[in-house]
Amino acid sequence: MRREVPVFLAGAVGVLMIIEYFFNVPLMRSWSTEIQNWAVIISAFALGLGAVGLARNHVARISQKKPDSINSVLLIVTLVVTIVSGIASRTNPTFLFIFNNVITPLGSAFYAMVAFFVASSAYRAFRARSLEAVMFLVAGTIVMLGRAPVGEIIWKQFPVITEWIMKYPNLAGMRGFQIGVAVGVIGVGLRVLLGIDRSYLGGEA
Amino acid sequence: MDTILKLGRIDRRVLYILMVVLLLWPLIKPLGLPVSVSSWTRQAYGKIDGLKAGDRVIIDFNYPAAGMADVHPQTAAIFNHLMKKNVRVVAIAFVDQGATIADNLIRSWEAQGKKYGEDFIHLGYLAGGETAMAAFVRDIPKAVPTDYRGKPVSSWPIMEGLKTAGDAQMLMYFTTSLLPETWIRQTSQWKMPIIGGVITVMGPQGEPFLQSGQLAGLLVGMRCGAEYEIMSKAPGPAVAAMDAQSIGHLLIIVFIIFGNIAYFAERQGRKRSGL
Amino acid sequence: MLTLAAYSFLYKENRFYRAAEHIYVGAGAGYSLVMGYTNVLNKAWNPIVQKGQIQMLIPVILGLLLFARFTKSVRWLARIPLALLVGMGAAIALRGAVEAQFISQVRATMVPLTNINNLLVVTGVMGVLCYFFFTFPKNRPIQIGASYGRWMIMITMGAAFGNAVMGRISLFIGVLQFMFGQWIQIIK
Repeated sequence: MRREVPVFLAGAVGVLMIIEYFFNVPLMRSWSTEIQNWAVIISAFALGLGAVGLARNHVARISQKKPDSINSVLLIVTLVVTIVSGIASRTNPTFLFIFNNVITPLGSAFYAMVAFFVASSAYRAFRARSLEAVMFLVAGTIVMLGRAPVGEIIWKQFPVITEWIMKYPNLAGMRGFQIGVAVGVIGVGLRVLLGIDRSYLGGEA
Repeated sequence: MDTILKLGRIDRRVLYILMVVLLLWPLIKPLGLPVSVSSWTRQAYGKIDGLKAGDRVIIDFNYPAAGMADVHPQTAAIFNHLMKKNVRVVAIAFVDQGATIADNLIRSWEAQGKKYGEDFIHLGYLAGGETAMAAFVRDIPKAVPTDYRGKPVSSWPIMEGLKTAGDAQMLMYFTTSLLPETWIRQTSQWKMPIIGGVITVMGPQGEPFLQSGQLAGLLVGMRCGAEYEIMSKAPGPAVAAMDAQSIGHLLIIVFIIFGNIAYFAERQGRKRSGL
Repeated sequence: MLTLAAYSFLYKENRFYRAAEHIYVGAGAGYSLVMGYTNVLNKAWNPIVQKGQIQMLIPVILGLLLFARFTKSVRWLARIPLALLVGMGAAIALRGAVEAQFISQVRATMVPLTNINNLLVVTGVMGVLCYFFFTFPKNRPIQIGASYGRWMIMITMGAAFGNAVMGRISLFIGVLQFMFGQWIQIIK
């Protein structure tokens, strides 16, 4: 029951979504739209799951006086201040301050840190060990030069060749991936709806 | 030979410092390298320029603050173009942080005299990813009963006659992670023009959909943002960054070359000592 | 200051980096919760309280069931709303993928073989598809197609790598523009 009911529900809802999409049945369409709007509300609750899980974890670290629990204090304080100010109003100055001066710069910093790792791996790992690796590096180099203003100054044809690479060989490769992905999406979707794939239920009985 | 081998053993922190210095220098002292406009930007610009005053465009702010540097220049440049043409914008976000980004942009235009509820509206954030998109395109007032400012959506003039996504003249999405096929899947019944503005990493993935006509235009990263700023005759932070972008690319290519020179030298050395 | 603390990681992992990381995670999670709360308020609470739409209690109850995962004895109840979301998501993706991703893309590949570029596209797509046949032994023609597809994939991945480098450098330039433009103000 604990696994069968959710599997049946997933299948039933999925079949409803598919039938109403391909057949014009007004009653099914209105049910489907209603359930889709329910999904928005359920997904909104899921956003709170992350915050609650974090809070539980870090409050436990603080109460157990684990090493570096000062960071957990920082996390909880930031979490609470953000929530209280945001719930008061999304245009609350404190909430906007946190978004503009904490979330934005820190998010950008962490996301951009990969640039350093790319530079480091370009130096240490990108070796022309085989003809295929040479193809990879040549294509990458031409694209980098073609998409930067300096490339056009070095040789006028770099942007032209880059555009050709993107519009033809890259197109062919990506389209092959896309068709494969489409088959995969259809396959996995059918497996979930038919109850064959139950990985989303978790491991316990 | 030793010097060549040393080329392959430079400490990564030296590389990092080199990167910071060489990227910062052209930002402080611009080199003034010319930026040509690619066919991707021309295509997107042409489609947007074809919109008429009073047309409605739905814009999905589908990126977090972390990706703003690469995507926001395009968004701002296109928003600027739309406002100049008096095209009306219906903003929505399917990524939570996109809602505040959209709000900041809209408020900046309100400060320049544009009217909320007439020239644009912000429908806020809708949780649920593609499921939320499916609900949104089917029945917009039902999916979003109140706007970001807490007022009923039906009370604003801009929303008159906008029941489904197909009632808008164009859809645009700006994203750091949304696959191009997501919006294409959800709006296929209306065959409406869709313009995607994506982070540079995702550029190649959009090409099949651009070629098939499922995307009316595709802007890729900060470079296309700079190109759009140039086409709109409103150069901004993206254009200013292009010199640094050039130096950055050259630096990575130099790192690859140095690394490979050292690798081949080491291989030669090992072959010789193996003989 | 927080940005500098984050980048101190590039030297080595340290307490300032960990503090910045925890502050970011706390702020980000709090922001998401606020957005989720507003969605629930506007789409469920207000319709129930102001318009008497009692049926909106159903998604509220299902959403609350998600939190059952924190209690061992009733953990299985969280599967119900999850199943709804997963089933819906799978169906919505599946129904659109058939036309938008599969049929349209195959149709777009059928271009007239009147020039070398079109020939490259058609043969390239077929080659890449040949490469991804793993469930049966490949005969000689498919092996040749797969080798050709591998070359096409290398060029595609090379282009992707070039774009990836570009993207990451753009993001870091944005950080520099923020730090030295808005904060220290040496970039005009």
